[in-house]
Amino acid sequence: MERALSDKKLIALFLVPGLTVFLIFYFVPILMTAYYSFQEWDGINPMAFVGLDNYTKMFTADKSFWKAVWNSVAFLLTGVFVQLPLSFGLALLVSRKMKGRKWFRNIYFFPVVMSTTMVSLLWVKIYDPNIGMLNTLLEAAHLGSWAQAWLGDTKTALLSVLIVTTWHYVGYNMLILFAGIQGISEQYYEAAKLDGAVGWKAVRYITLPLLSDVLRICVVLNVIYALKTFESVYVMTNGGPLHSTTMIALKMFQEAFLKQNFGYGSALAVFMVLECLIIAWVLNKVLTREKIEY
Amino acid sequence: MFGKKLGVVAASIALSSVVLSACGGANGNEGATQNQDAKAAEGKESVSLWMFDADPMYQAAAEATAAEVGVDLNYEYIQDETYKTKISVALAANELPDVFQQHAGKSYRTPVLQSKTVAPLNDTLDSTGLGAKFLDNQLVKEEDGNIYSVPSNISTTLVFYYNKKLMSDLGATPPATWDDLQALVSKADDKGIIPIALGGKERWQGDLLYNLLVARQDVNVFDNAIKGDAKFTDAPFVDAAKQVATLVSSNAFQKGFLGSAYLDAQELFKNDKALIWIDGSFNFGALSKAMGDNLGYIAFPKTGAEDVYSATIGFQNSAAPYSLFVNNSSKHLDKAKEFAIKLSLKLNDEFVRKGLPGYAASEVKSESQNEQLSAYATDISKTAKTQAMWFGLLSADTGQEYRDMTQQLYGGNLTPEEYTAQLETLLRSAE
Repeated sequence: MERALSDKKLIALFLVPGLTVFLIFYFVPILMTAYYSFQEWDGINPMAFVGLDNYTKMFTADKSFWKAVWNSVAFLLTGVFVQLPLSFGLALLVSRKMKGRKWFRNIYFFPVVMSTTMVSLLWVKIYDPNIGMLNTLLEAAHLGSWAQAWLGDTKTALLSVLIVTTWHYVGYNMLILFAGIQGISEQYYEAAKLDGAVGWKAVRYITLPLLSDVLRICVVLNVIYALKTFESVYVMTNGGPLHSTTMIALKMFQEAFLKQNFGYGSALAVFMVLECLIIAWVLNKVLTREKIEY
Repeated sequence: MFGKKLGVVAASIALSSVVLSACGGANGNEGATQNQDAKAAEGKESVSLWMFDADPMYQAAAEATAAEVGVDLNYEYIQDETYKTKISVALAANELPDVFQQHAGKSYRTPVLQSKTVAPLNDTLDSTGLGAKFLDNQLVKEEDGNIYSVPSNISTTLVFYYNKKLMSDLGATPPATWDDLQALVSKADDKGIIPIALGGKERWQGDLLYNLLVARQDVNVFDNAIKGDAKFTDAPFVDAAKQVATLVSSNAFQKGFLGSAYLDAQELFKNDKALIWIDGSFNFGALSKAMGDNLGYIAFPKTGAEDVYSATIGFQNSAAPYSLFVNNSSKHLDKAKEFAIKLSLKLNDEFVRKGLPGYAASEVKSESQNEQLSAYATDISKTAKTQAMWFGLLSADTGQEYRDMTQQLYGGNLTPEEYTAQLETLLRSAE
C-alpha cells in the first residue's frame, strides 16, 4: 500500500477517471458557454457569430447590468463586513462554557438547514406590507411610521433581501468559525492569561490570529456566494422592483430562458465565472500570510 | 460546431446550477419516459402530458380522454411561471413530453414551431374526421399548410372584478367612467381599503391594464401603430400612460404592489382587503368558488373616448392561441396525436358545459351559469373587438423589454411621455 502511495504514476492513473468526469461536466460546458457568448442564438435556430457584440452590449448598453454588478458588490460587502463579524461573535458566544450553549448553537444554525426557497417565501410573507408580520409588529410597537413596502419599494428592497440572506447564512459561518475556535489549544489562553490577556485581548491576540486560515476560507466562501446569488432574489423579488435587486445570475437566467438570448446569457455567465475566479484569486493572494505559530 | 441538444444541455449546466433548480423537476420527463417504457412492456401505450392550467377540470378531462383513447396517462401539472422556463429549455433540448400545452402569443408559439419538434396533426384530424368538429379558423394553419396544434382553451379576456361586500360597505356603485373610477379609488383609499390589488412582480397585470386603457382611448390605435400608420407617441398612448400615472399617484394600488406576486395580490381581493381585481376571465370559476355571491363583475369602464363594448383585451390571438402540441419524437406518435385532439374536444365540452362559447361543435348542454358569468358572456357577445394583448404579438425578447418598461411607468421611473417615446423606439425597432 505504501509503495502504491509513493508511485506518482499510479496515483495519476487513479485520478484520471475523476479528472475526466470533472473536465467533461465542468470545463467543457464552461468552454462551450464561452463559445456561445460570441454568438447570437435563441437556443433553437442556427447561431450567428457576432464577435464581441454581446460583451459590448453588456458593458455599454445594458442599463441593468451595472445595477446587477453593484448589487453583487452590496451582497459581497454585507457578507464580509456584516455577516462574518456577526458569525464570529456568535461563534465566540457559543464557544464559551455556559449552560445551553449547544442549544444556542443549534438555534443559530437552524436557518441554514432550511432551503433558500422556503426561507425566501417565509420572509416574503413577513415583509408583506399589507398583511405581513413585520409591519404589524411595528404598528403594535407604535412605530407605524417605520412600516414600509419592504420588497415593493426600490429604496428598501435590496436591504430587505440582504437582511434575509444574512439571517439565513450567519449560522453557516458561525459553525465553521466555531470549529476553528474549538481547534485552538486551551494552553494558549492559559499562557496569555498569565500575561494579563483576557477577554477582548485574548480574542484579539490569540483567537483572531489563530483563526486566520478559517477566516480566509469564510471570506472566500462568502464572496463567491455573494457573486452568484440567485435563488433568494428570484423568489423574493425576481430582481425587481425596477431592477433594484437584480443580480448577474438572475439576469443570466432571464436573458437565456425568458428572452431566449442564449448568446447574451452565456456572455453574462462568462463574466460571472471570470469575476468569481479573479476575486477569489485576489483574495487568496491578499489574505495569504505566513502561518502563525506560538 | 456542436449539436443543438448538446449545446443547450451544456449551456444550461454551465449557466448555473441554480437555474436548473429553478427549472425544477427536469427529471420528471425522464421519470415519465421510464414509466412509459415499463407500461409499454406491459403492452399498454402511455402518453405523458404537461399542463400549466391549475383548474382541476384539465386533469379530469385528460384522464377521461386517456381512458377513452386507451392509454396510460402521465399527467404533470407545472406552475404557470415555472412552466414558461421549463418548456423553453425542454424545447431547445428536445426533451418534451408526448403532449404539452403552450401559452398563447407569438413569443411562446414561434419557438415551438421553429424548434421543429412538433408533429403535424393533419393526418389524424382527417383520418378520424375530428377536424370537422372544430369551428372555422379555430385550427391554425401554418405557412407550410400544416396544422400543428389544437386549442386548449377558449378565448379569455381581461375582466374587471369587484368585491361586492366592500363596494356595499363603501356605499358605492361600480364605476362606469374614468371619473367614477377615480372617485371610487379615492373613497376606498380614504376608508383604508385597497382600491385595486395588482400583482406587479410578474408585470403582466399592469401591462394588460395599460393595453386596455389604450384601447378605451382608441380601439384601433395599437393596430395602426404596429402597421406604421400611427405612432406609439400619439395621444391615446400618452393619455393612457397618464391614467396609469394618475392611478399610481392616487394610491389606487396596494402598498408595495410592484413587489407583490400575482397570487398574493389575488388573496387581498379574495379576503375582502381589496375592492377591485383586474384579471383574466379564466379565473371566473376559481373566484366564484372562493367568493360566492361576493364576486362582482362589470365591463371595464369607459375610461376614454371609446365605449365599453368597443373592445376588450384578449389573452390570445387567432394566430397564436393556447394550444396543445404533440412531440414528433413521441414513441407512440399516433396515439399521442389522437389523445391531443380528443383532449382538446373534451375540454371544449367542459367550456360549453359552463355556458362559455366553445371552439368546436359540442353535444353537451350548458349548465346554468351564475349571474356574473352570465353577464360576462352577454358582454363579450356585444363586444366589437378583442384586441390581443400586445405582449402576445411580440417576440420573447421584445416582449420582456416591453414589460420591463411598462413596470417603470408604474414605478414612476418614466413619465408618460418618456415611456411612450421609449415604446415607439422599442416596438418600431422590433418590426
